[in-house]
Amino acid sequence: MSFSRDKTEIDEGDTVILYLSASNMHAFRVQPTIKNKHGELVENVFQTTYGALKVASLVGVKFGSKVQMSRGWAFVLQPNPELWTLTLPHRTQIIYTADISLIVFHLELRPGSFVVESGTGSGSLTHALARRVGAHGTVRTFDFHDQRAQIATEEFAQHGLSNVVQVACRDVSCDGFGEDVQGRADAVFLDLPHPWLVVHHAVAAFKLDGGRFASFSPCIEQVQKTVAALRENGFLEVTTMECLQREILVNNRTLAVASVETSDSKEPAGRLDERSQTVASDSSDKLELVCTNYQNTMPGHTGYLTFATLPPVWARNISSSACPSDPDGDDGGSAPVIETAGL
Amino acid sequence: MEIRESIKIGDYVVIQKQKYLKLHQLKARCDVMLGKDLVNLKAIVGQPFWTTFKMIQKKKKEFDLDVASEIESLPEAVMKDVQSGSDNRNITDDGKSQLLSTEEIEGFKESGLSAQSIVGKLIESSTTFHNKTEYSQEKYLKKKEKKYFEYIVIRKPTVRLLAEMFYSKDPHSVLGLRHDSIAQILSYANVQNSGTYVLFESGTQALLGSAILDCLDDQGRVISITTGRYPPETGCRRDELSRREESEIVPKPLKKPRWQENLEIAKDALLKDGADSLIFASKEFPLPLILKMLDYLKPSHSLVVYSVYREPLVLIYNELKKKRKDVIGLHIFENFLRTHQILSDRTRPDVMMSASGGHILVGTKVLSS
Repeated sequence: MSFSRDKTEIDEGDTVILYLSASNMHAFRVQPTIKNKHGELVENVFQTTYGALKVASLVGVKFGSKVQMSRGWAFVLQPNPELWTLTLPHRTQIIYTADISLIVFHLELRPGSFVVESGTGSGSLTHALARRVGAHGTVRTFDFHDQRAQIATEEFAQHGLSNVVQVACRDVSCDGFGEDVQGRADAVFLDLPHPWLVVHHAVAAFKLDGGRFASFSPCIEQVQKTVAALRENGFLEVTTMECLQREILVNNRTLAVASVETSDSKEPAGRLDERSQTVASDSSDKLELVCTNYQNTMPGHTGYLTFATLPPVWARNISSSACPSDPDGDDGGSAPVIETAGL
Repeated sequence: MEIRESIKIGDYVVIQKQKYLKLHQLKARCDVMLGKDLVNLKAIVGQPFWTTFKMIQKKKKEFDLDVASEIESLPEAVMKDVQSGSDNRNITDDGKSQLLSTEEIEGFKESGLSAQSIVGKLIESSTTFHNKTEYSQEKYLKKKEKKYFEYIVIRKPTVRLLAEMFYSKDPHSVLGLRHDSIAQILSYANVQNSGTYVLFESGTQALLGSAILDCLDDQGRVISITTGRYPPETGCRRDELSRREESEIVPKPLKKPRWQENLEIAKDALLKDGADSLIFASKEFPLPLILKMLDYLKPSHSLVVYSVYREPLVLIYNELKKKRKDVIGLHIFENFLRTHQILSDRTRPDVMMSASGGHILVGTKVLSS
């Protein structure tokens, strides 16, 4: 139940986040003993750059506490989907918080929603979907890789999400989402090599009321085929975007002030001898500044996100040109004419 | 089983005419202005959301609505039997390609001629249309379709639609709060159905409050702090939310002199359980309020501050680093968000993009002892 909102202190079996610094975090389970490589049960000691931590000592500790290690200290935090995304064991490429947030928002998920995901991968997005649909909602997640599906199932159980998240090993490209999902979904998310092959299966999974669709693809060729399939299958508001998150780094810097003025203001102007032409470097000519900058490199591409709306079954084919999915064409600059009233 | 929720007087609806979106509360007198047209919405009452209506001209610039069962897309209808050129080498812009005068075209509109017939006449009287490339013809027809479009769809308001509507109308009207920023604020604040969230929001048409409420069920609470008389309101899911606003948001009618006093009341409500996160998105510089409210944030939970500008967040970042040993994991983020045109053989980024969606500061509270 590590992710549960009511939780304030660590129980045995919980997953915790050990925070050494913003760039040095670890997720692990609080188990007093662990099997070594010979299969023998030994005391669970977690090694960090600041020394060893006896994991058993965390039981009963409040989340957010400072914990002592052999050569320093760290904070122990409760996991949440964002921290989990930064620390989870990678079994596949994962989706990160900027894209995850956009996906969850654009799927219009609410408490109690039924959402379908394929593939499960390392379960990074799945945690965020589960959080948004809540205890009365459902996440059906599919992966065609048997071992991945199994490990993900165990992880969701350890995180107390089994009531919300159900994992199945299934190749949805070939077999669809199955009868027990048909007509039940409020939202469908695809992160697959061939999402366009699954669009008609997605249509079958949606409630008759329709819902929201999202697909994450790294390559534009995938997007082109998926968008074509979405338009063929009656989806509206088809939009594709990319979102890159940049961190702004804050540094307090002291800059020397370059000047051709003499430091002695009494000296008559225009009398520039060799000495006074040099850049002032004494301590009074320094400027203290709060500086902001970006990291030297950043991910320049994660994936294209394609979103679409499936209208209710009775409204399909009628509303298509009334809320267009096609872009305007070359005049991409034309912002929609929009007006609000009645507030 | 599909549930067709029908539209009632008093409902907030989104009127969509192609890319034009308008939020409107349906009054007993059903008139609404759509651009320069006066439209009577009487016909939408009792119909389900997502119904398409045809605009029927009554008088000049005055329309009634009629449920539409079919729309033929104008480019498709017109392009059926039209020839195309292969490039634009023979097309020069001399302002003489359209043989019809503006008055004649206006005359067609006033006589109640259908969009398709008007555009048909425009093409017939154009000396260059048939030499244009297929792409260029389609683009022209899409433009004309937009102008003469006669159909609207009534949609149910959602936070997503409102966010897109407010931002694209005028980003300043929502402090530059773009949908990707709202999405990330909800993530970093770990908003979930049953939590208690302290929100200080101003200048954003209550968009963030609506987005948070949309994530809550009847166990969740938003404690809305305001320096005004009432917390901000929005039309989003208004009918559904009004009940919650009474029972769950603790509105703090904070007149300036009693500001401090009322803040104490809000704090008492928090003393019992603490806040699951603190969320700030305001015109004002919120640092003093942040420092005060941090005491009520649960350990291992998040502080999220939105600002349209970078500098206030940099200041808050520095102050928290200096003064608060109980806040760790401070970061300031901004997003690059770009949309793409996806068309066969014509896929590329859109020419114009939104240059800023605001800035987000995040931090995590820890136990100081």
